[in-house]
Amino acid sequence: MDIDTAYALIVILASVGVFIASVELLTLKREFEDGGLFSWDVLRTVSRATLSVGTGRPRRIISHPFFVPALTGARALAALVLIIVRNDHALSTACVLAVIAASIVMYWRAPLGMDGSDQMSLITFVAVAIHKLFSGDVHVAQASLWFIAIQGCLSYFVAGIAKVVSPVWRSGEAVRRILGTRTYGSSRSASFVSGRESMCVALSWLVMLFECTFPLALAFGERGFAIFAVVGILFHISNAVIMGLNTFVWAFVATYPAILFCAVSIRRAF
Amino acid sequence: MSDVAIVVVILYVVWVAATVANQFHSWCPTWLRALDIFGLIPVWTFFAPNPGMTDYYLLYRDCLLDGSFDNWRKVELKPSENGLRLAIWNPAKRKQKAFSDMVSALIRLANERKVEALIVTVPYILILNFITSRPHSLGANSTQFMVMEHGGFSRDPERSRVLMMSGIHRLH
Amino acid sequence: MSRKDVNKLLAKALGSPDFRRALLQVSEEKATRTVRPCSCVVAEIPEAAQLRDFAHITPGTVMAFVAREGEPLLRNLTEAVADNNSKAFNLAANKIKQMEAKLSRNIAGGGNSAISQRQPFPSFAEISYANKTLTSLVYVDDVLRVHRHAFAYNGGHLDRKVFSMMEYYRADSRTPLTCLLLIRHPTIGEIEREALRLVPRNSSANNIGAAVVAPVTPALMAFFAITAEAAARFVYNEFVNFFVALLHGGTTTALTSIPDSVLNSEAFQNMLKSLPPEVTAAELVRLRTDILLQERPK
Repeated sequence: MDIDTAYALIVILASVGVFIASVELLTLKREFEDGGLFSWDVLRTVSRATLSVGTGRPRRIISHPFFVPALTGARALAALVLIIVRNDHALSTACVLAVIAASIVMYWRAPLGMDGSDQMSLITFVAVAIHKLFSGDVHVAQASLWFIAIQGCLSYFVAGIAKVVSPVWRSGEAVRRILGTRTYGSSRSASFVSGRESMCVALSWLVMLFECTFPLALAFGERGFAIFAVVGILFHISNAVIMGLNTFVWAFVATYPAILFCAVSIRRAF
Repeated sequence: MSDVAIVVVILYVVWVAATVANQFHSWCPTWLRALDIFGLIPVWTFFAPNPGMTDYYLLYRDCLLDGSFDNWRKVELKPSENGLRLAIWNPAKRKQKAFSDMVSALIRLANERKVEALIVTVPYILILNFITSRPHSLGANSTQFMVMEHGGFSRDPERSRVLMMSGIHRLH
Repeated sequence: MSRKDVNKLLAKALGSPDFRRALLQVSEEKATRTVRPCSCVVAEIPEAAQLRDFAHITPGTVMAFVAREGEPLLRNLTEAVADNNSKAFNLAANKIKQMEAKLSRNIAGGGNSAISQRQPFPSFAEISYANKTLTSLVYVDDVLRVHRHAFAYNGGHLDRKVFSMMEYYRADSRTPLTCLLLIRHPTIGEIEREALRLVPRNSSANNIGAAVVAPVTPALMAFFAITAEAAARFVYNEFVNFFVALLHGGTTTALTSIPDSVLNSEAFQNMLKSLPPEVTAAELVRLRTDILLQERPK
């Protein structure tokens, strides 16, 4: 896979996730108003820094009912442009920077309710932005792809190790109980895992095995990558259906083109 | 390699190192977390090593004119069960996660500080502010909230317990 | 619409001459008209009623029906509820809905009907619960013979004796208004039932049993209970917790929450003691703001 194709795929996949996340936030407009879960009247008192920003004219702007919709709407629009328009370098650079800026401002506005997909998307977009700002430099392009790939692999590896050191994960109890919650499970998943301790243990160890070995996706060229990619996509789709983690699919699969690029590079080098 | 490329590579190396350091709480220096004002140093320890294996519910009840309490009323943060639709579109997860973040923060703060100081913490005030704007009973002037931990679809008769309960707060 | 938006809309509307004229007229009418108390009849939809029965009243509602004494529809509603006759109830409620629709059309369409709307109402009423006004400017006329208004109700104790309605009437308005209040209890879900089981209606933080609360720290305060076990479990939380990180990002930078040194200080303790009873969210925000502004970075 060449560098340009890798970046094109990364941008499209990550932008779909950001678009969905942004439109979801648009529907939560009320929660950013007075009395909402993310009321600025309260959140501006997180620290002295936010308090000093949140007074006078900035406060009127931030607490205006259109502020969050405008911000998230702009982010959604930028993501949509990135999905549709691929040949305009200046426009795509501007849109990538807009996504980053809007994401950071939203983080400051409401540092609550964010998850791993938000983190991965932001990191991916920053790396893409660095590449686009120095698009003539092939080393910057490669370094950014390597960075995305490493962060992608690190995310799976750390998640796996954190589970391996946990007694509730090793015993399968975590799988049984998490899938039995209403937040991250459903009545179907709860009845499926109920009374099936060995299934929970097996599932638990499969997840840990997959996550801990994911960095090996870099080690065996295209074929090795393909196996991990297929399992990874199925893993994320399952998490989306069972646990409602819809944006994780796009945010993490967006790192796969970078991982493939690096896997091929390593294979060629050896 | 150009100078720009060298700087970028160094940046990425430092960033990855900071990411590794940030994965385990005891390793990570507090100044590093404090510096991360853009939220660019991620944490990848999903659901581990201490996963949340219960549901949190936010309930409130009003103090009536005669001093008695109303029924507990649940705040619906997540209206639907997970399934195919939520696999594509799930805005409610933000609210649920935000509430979970607030509860986690309160528990953590309670572990480290005197309990009476909790009422001036942002998560407590956020929850109270949120509850204040919900519909309230006829003639009620004050309210109270509770966070209940529930074992989801578990059939265990002891699947619920009170995690925290606020004092009485005026509505206006 | 947020409270701020509503206030802005009202403020803008107040600027319109028609609105201002109407508001002034209402105030004048209230000040000059004779007042009389009206009868309020309170009844309950049977708890065993299915959701599809009495469908015009959703569970968790108190619905007020206001009409002139002797209004047949009101009698029909009262009898239907007493007889648990959902069909008869729906029939009467549908007629009221048709009246509301006709009124809306008249107002939207303008014309002669709209002109007649500009005449002062023979009377209008205020419904209260104890000494709290629930709604005012309830009126009826030839088109809308029965006015209905819904209030949220979540199943707690309701003292039927303290519902009241006052009518502001003109001298030529002979027949007083009357009010029928129908209570429909909410459907209580599993979570609410569990909550009631753990903390029954008349218990407070002081007297809920230890068994229903996870192991409690020595600091079981009168106004806050927290669990030591749960606290230990959240040494480091799953997922990103920017919020927690933000709150715990060290004690020496501008981005932190209030440091322990401030929270442990006598000044802070005095501030807590000086809080009004049953402090509101807004008062806590002000207190937190004061603390942050007083605290000097080291």
